[in-house]
Amino acid sequence: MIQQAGQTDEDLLRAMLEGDEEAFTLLYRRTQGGIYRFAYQMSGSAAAAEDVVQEVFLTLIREGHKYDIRRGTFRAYLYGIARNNVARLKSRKSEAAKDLEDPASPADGPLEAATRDEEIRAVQNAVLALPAHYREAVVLCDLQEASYAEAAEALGCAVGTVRSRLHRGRELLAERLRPRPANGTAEGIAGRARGWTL
Amino acid sequence: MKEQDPICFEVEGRLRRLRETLKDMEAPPRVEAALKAAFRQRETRTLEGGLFRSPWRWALMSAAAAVILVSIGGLWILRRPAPAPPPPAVFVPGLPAEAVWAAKARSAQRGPRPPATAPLRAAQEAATGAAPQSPPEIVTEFFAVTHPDTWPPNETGQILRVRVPRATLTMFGFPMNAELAEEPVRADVALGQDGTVRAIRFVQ
Repeated sequence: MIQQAGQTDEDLLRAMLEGDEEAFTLLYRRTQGGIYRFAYQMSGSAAAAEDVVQEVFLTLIREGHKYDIRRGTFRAYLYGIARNNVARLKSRKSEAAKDLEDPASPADGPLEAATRDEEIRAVQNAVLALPAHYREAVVLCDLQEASYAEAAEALGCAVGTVRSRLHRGRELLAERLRPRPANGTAEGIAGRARGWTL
Repeated sequence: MKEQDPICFEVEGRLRRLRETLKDMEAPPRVEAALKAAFRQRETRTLEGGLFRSPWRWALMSAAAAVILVSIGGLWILRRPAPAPPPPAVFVPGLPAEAVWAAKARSAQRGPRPPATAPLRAAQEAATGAAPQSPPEIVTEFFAVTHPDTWPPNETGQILRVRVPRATLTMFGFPMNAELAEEPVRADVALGQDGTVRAIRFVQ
């Protein structure tokens, strides 16, 4: 039995590697939500996110002893594994990969069940449409609230690179989310009429 | 948001709303169940591997060898032609049910795991048509899978030769060669009338 309160992730990992199932369960419950959301926001697919969570923790069971606290936080280590699995899923010719190939239309996401808010869906679609390396930075730093250092550890790059990718990702998001004239407005009608041949 | 510039400001509110919307998303419970099962399986394998790699391995192997030798010696004694009372055991096809289940009652008084029986072997050989001069198999004693007290009275049944996962050996205290873990082992199982396994013995 392990005292749950006050145990760090690293403490729980150590106990887990010694065979403590309760520690594994607690560690899983503490961290799976973030990994699931990261995978979902990267892929737009709940099924793919589920697969990623499973793979991440299976890897932890098999290779958790490889984690080195000197190289970064435990959560950054998990995000790094999740990132590799998202990339692997993308490259597979499978149903999950089909979801990933069309990231702008997440069909099976819990988001659809949770909300019909058009604006929220527009933001998510815009995030999913970002190039992967910008999307990773935005998802980790803005949606998962990871620090720049954690994001850098997870992505295997320098903190400066994370900053620049994040900045560029936000720029692209701002462009995609900028309001466009509706078809019914005068500006919209005029815009369409310019292409007509009378 | 870590920086406050116009671009960040523009998208900050929208990203915050998305983050709030998704904050309760979690993997479904079936993932946790599957992972816990995988964890247990991994721990079992590690424990078995650890035992055979541990400094106690020679003691363990010696104990296992002693168990096997005692089993073989016991079988040799039981197979001698000298008449012997029917030992307590599981059901033997072809024997009067009264004799078998009386023996069962005696065995229940002595302990939960009745030893092997010569009549059982003879009955099995008769059932399978094995010639007496055919090369003898090395078998363990029969181990009761359920306590004899739970068996119905006057029960009939049969013995089946089956193949079982090698890990089954460890459940009865026998050592398992980890290199042969994928290969099944032969065993005889005594089935009750309800199809439930009453006892098992291993065959080499």
